[in-house]
Formats: sequence, structure tokens, C-alpha cells
Amino acid sequence: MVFSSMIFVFFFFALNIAAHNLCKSIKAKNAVMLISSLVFYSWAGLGFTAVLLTDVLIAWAAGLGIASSKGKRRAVFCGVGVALLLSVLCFFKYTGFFLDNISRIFGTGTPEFVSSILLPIGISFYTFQLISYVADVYTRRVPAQRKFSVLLLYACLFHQCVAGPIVRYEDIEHDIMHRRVTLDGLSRGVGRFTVGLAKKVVIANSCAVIADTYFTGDAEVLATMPAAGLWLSGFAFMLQIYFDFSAYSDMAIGMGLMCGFHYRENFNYPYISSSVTDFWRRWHISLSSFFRDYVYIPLGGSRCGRARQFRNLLVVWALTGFWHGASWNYVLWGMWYFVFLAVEKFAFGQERLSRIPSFLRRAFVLVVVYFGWIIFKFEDPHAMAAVLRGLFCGNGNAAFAYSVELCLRSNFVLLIVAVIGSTPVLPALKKRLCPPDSDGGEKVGGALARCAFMLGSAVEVMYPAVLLVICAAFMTGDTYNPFLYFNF
Amino acid sequence: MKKRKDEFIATAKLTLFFAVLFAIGTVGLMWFLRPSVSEMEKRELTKFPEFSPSALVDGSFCRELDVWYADTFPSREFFVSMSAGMHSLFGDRSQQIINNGEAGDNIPDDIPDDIPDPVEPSGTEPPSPPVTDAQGTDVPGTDVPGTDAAVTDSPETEPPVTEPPATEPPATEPPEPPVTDQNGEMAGSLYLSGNSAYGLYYFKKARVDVFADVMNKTYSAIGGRTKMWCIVAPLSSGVLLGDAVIEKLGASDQGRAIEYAYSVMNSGIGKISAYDALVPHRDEYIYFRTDHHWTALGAYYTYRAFAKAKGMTPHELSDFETRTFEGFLGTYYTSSRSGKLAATPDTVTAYVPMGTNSMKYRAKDGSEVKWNIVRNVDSYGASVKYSCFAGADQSYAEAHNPNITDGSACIVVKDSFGNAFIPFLIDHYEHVYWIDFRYYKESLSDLVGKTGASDVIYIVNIYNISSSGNVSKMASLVE
Repeated sequence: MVFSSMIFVFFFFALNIAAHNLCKSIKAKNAVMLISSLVFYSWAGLGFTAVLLTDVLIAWAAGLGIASSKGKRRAVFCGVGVALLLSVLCFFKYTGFFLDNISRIFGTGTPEFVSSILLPIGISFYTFQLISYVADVYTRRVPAQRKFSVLLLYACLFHQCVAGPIVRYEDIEHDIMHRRVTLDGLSRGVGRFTVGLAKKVVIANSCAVIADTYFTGDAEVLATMPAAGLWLSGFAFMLQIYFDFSAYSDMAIGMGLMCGFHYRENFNYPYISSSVTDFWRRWHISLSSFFRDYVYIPLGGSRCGRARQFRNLLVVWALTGFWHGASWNYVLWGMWYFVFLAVEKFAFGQERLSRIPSFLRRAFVLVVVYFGWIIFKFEDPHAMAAVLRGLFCGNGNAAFAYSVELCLRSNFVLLIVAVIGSTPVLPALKKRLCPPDSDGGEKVGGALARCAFMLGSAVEVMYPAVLLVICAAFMTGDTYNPFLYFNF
Repeated sequence: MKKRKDEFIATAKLTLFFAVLFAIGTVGLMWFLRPSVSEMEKRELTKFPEFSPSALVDGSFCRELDVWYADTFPSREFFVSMSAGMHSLFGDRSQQIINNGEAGDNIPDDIPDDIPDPVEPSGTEPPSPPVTDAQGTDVPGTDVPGTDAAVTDSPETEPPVTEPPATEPPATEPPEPPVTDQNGEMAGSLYLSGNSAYGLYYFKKARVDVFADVMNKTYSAIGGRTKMWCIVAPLSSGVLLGDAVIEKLGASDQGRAIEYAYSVMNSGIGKISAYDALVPHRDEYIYFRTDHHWTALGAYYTYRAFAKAKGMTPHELSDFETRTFEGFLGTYYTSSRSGKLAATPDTVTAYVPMGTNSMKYRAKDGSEVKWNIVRNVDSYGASVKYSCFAGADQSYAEAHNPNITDGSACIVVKDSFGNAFIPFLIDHYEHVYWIDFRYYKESLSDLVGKTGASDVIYIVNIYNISSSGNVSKMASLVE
């Protein structure tokens, strides 16, 4: 089940929110959330639920082992727990990749059983959540959870279980046992959820259509696409992936708020970043902070010599790339960022970087990110090469085609809305027109301010319901509408 | 004061949101309101999945449930239309290309500039001229499928041309033909301009070579006993848009593509250039604007070219009684859901054969169904009005003209473009048999033997000569 499906929104979620908020006790609320989450997760197949339960069992046992031990035994429990969790992840996600590469090198065939290994949905997300739990218990940031059901609820909460954000146990430990549903939380949650839903079904899916217009077919076909079409598709894909993924986080955060959970932000307008380093502070924040806290810093972080810092950065970005998928293009994508991050860190430094005019830095980041997404998009190296060459007419392809003009003309409003939506222009505008401390124009500002306040209030009241109806229209008929990040 | 206002706004916001959420959710639970067929998309909607423990374990049950829930949602067509309306706000959609796709091949340069007039086989292969390259795609599309569910008799005698549908079909006839078919012939990119849509064609040499090879093998199998004809029907874009627009859009020149296909076919096959027959009439209503088919008028001009090649005297249009069916919104509308197309639907005009309007076809269960060659489709849905011709896409059908007693017979092997063509043949043969190569599973050679047909006329639209799936179905007729 995906969030952007009719059955999720109008059946599953409607039932869940009603049941959750009708329950009085936290025990009953947790029971509702646990049952809902297990049903949600099992929707993709009961076999996947067994993997999830196994992982939670490993983390739960490791946590208890760490808590009840002293000295080196704590490290052993932590190490074994993390190793087992990573082994499960590697088995399901990377077995095929490794065996395929070995078979290419040695000319042996890939064993048949590989094709029967299915990737459990969300395994990359909940594995990292459980690793963070085990590590945090080890470093005494959080106490070990004695109740298996509570740890299971943390790992399988359907809001974030299958596509993030990667929630730390410490962030929701309090909410699990003591959350309260407030009018303000509900109101903000409803708004956030519907905006996320609209970002996915209206903007991301429509950008996907433009992206797929010229990013289609194999390398041979891609080589014939007009350069302008490839640039347009690249641009649309850049918007698609941001709106797709951030929409999922918005919906997760929104649903959390409606139930009293407070998840951290996962995106902060990454396309206005002033450096590549800044981009990764704004894009998929929960993943980059995971790697920072559980890989980079334990390796020594920046408090070591330049050579070790360089190594640490390389490890983090190789892993970041590899986490996104079992294919070399993701590793290359990670290395692509490693190069720019290393240049910014070691060749420029923050001070020298800040001397470059801001618009140049931002434009440069967009160029880096643009080509990064092209590397990310194509698992087939020949297809990737065809597109990279084709962007500069390197395939003997035409520079322009009338179809590109038509495609642009028939989608220019969508693209403008998407570009505006990927910047903080609208929130800034809202803040300016309706400041949070506004008195509704009663004391100052007179009629005009009151009018603006009334209009703003009307929009505030109506937009979630209106967006919901619009999204229902877009979702109906879209019988298969998966989120991109389901593969990770 | 501020806090109370905020609370009031939040309460109103939540009330409205949850009212909409639960209202739509409740409607979704009303299983009896769920549609089972989408007339707009010409297909049966997803059925409720069959439950089995293994389907639950592997997740397929729930996946299918997802699809069923959305696919059959009550008021689905309302939501779909609303979605189309919202999409029209995305930009200036007065002109657009839908499903722009893969590039086409260069059409070989060695085709002659002028293909010889189609005449009875002379034994010389036409050479070939140069053309431009293009882009293309091969996406399975939709087509108007058969009406096999209607298995009761319609009158053997001629139904009056203007009679209301209640008297024409028997009482048990379903009002709409069933609409499930995955063997469509509409594929690829769609160019929308104003209130007209045009399917674009992208030449694929390898596939066209296979098609020509299949035609040659068919000729080898039946050519000794009967005269074989081939008519490749162009799409509206090739005939109506003009070379400059086609080139601008990056599509292939259909006239050249057809010439190439003919050039690699056996010279014994009679080749009719529907393209040349239609181009002089491009200002007339020879193609639908909202559908990929030609009109009966377009089929008529092709019939005249065929008659000339065969040495028959074609009938004049004025010889036929006409029927018109208003409000046709065909496959192009279904694909694009364009508001401009919806605002100006097509009119289907059909010409009733003089000799007989009776035919019969073989239903899927093997039973014989009596039908009309030109059927009254007034009561049919807006998207299936093209079904008025020749019983739509039946695997096998036949008609016998009582006014002709010379024993003459022909077999038409066709896709749905042939449907509008067949009525014009009725007044030239005592027996007309037609099979749809997409559904007919028997041997064409056997049929030729059984019927003693003197002519076998292949009539296919240009999409299908580049469709490997459909070409292999043509091949299976003589395997």
C-alpha cells in the first residue's frame, strides 16, 4: 500500500485516524497503531513481515544484552546486533549485486536462487532505525526498551516505516508512551498531510510524465532523443524526485502530528543550497545525519588528520551511494558528491567558499545536483552515457525538436509551480501577509488587514479539503502509483 | 482573542477535512455503486481479487485489492474527468504531444518516387525513393473490440435503416458492446491541435520487413489459388497534417513508409495505395478527429481505388442509404481526455449496402450470431459508435448478397480499419467473409479452400505493420 493510493487515504488512513483518536488510553492508542502498522506492512506480503519481526527481535535482544552487561560484553552485544542487522540487509539487498559482479568477473553464471530474493519493503529504513537504537543504547543515549511490542511499534510505525524519514528512537520514545493529540497538532498535521499528498500526486507524478517523455527506452533509443528534450527531462526528473520524496516525508510528518508523534524534518528546500555541503544538510536530512552520527564521527570525523578525514568522507559517501541501491550507478552517484564535498572541504574551506557570489554558488550546486540525478536515474551505464552525451548532441542527435517546444508549452504552468514550490517563496509570502503574531487587523492595519486576514483564514480552513478532493481525482484511475523511494 | 480565533479556524479546517475524508471513504465502501466497465476506456474494470492464503502471503491479493479499489471507485469517471480538467491547467494545451517516445528508423532511400498504379499483379517489384527519419513508440493502446456477448439473433431480413434500436436488436441484446481488448491498434504518440487529435507514426524498418515477409509467405501459401491484395491504411496525421508538420513533429512520412512496405512485397500481391487515394480528399471528413479510425468516407475513397485496380465499377455514394450517429468520442479522446475534443464530438456516417444489411458472426463460444452490417448504435456509449460497422471486431463473420448469384466470394483479413471498408464490398460479391487477424485462430488457407474465394484482401492500418505482436498473428494464419 502506498500513501498516494485511494485505498490508503480513504480507507486505511481514515479508519486508523478515527480509531486512534477515539481511544482514550495510550495503551489502546498504541495497540491501534501497532495493529495498523502490521497490517500496512503485511500488505506487501506476510513474508516481509517475518523479516521485519526478525530484525526487531535482533535489536530488542541486543538492547537488552547491552543494558544487562558491563565492559566489553556491551560492545560485543552491540557489535553482534549491528552485524546481524546489516547481514539481513545485505542478504536481501545486495546478494544479487555481489553474485552478479562475481559471475561477471569469473565468467560464472548467477545462481538461480538470486532471482527469488525479494527486497522487503522499507528494509533500508527500518534497519537503520534499529541500528541507531542499538548504538544509542550502547552509548547510553537511550535506555533499552524492555517491551518488544514498543520497539516493534517504533520500527514498524506505518508513517515512516517504508520510506522514511529515518526516525531515531530517542526522538519518539517519549511520544510512544506519553503523546497527546492536540487541536493544533491535528490542524498542522492535516495541512502537512494534504500538502504532501498533493506534492506527490499532482506535481511529482506530472513531472514524471515529462521526465519519461525523453528519458525512455534503452541506450539506442536514448541516443536519438533531441538534446533539448533530454535537458527538459533532466529538469523534470530533478523536480520529480524532490517532490516525490519530500512529499512522502511531509505525509509522514503530517500523519505523525495527527496522532501526537513529532518526527524531525527531512527536507529543507535543498535546491536553494549555497554549496554542495549545504545541499546535504537540506536533502534527506535523516539519512545524512545517520551517516554523520553513526559512521563519520565514530571513524574520527573531522577531528583527525586530513588523510583520515578524506578517508572518512570517502567511506561515508560510498556507503551513502550504495545505500540507495544495489547498482554501480548509485556508488558513482555517491562518489560524484564525494568529489565536490571533498573539494569544498579541503580545497576551498567555508571561508573561501563564502567569498564566491551567492548566486554563482547556488547555480553551481544546481548544476552538480542536475548531473547527479542523471547518474542516479540510469542503472544501465550505456543508457547513462547516451544521455550524458546526448545532452551535448554527442550522439549526433538533434539539438531541438518541435515536440520539446510543445511539451514545454503544455506544461509551463506546472513547471513554474514546481519551481516555486521547491523554494521557500510561499512560506515567506505567507509569513509576510499573515504574520504569526497578527491580531487579525483588529488593532492595526484597518480594513485592508482585516480583509487579508479573512481571506487567509478562509484559505487556511479550506485548503486541506480542497486538496484532498483534487488528489482523489488525480489518484482515481492511477491504479499503480508507487513512490520512487520504495526501492531503497 | 487571537488564540480563540486560531482555535476556531483549526476546528473549521478539521471539520471540513474530516467531513470530506469520511464522505469519500463512505462512498468507497458502497460496493453496489462500483462500476464494472469503463466505457470511456473501453475496458472492463478490475475485478475483486480472488482470495487465497498464498496470495495473501506473497502480497498479490492486497496489490490487486489496491488496484480494484481505485479502479472501480464510485463516481470514477467524474474524478477522471476532473483530473483531466486539472491537467489542462498545466499549460497551453491547444497543441501537445502525448506519449512522445522512441525514435523511428530512416526509411530506406531506394524506394521509387512514384509507385506504379495499383493494378492486377504484373510481376514487377516497385523500386523506392528517399525519406526522412522520425521518432516513435510502440505502446499498446485501445481498440473497439467485439461484441461477442450479444449472442441472440437479429432479424435475417433487412432491418429498416432508420428504425430505433429497440426494434433492431432483440430484447436480450446488451445496450453496449463489451469493451475488453488488449490487442489494440492505437499506439504511440498523439498530437493534439485544437479540437483534433492525430496519432503519429514512427517507421520501424525491421518490423515492416517482417510484415512484408509475412505478406510474401501468405502469398506463397494462397497466391496460386486466389488473388491477394494488400491495403495499408495511413493514419489521419499522415494524410491531413502535411509533410511540413509531420517533419516538424519528428514523425515518419506514412506515404513513404507504405511505399517501402509495398516495395519489399512480392509483385504478385495487388497493392492499393490508400494514401494516394486519400490525400486529394484531405479537406473532406475522411478521418475522425477524436478517434484513430478513418470515416466511412475515407474507407469509400480507398474502396474506389481498390475497385479501379480490380477492374470493377465502384458504386457512387449516392447509391447508398446513409445512417448517422452523433456524439462519437473515440480512442483519441479516451487517451487524451481533452476537453476540446469532448466539446466537439465526431459524427459517424455509415453507408448501408444495397444488396443486404444482414450478416452473421461467430461468437467466442462458437455460436453464430445474426447481426447487421451497418448496426444502429444510437443507444451505444459515446466511445463505441465505430462499432456500427460490420459487427465490429469479430474473429469471423460473413454476409451473403442475394442480389448476386455468380458464386463470387472474397475474404477480407483485417483490423478495425477494415470494418468501415467491408460494407462497400457487399455489393460486388455474392459471398463476403471477413476475419480479424488478431482473433482468428484457424488457417487462412483452409478458409480459402472452403469458400473458394477469388480475392483475399488484407486491410490493415499502418500501426499494425510496425506492431510485432500483430504481425506475428498475421503470420500464424498461414503457419
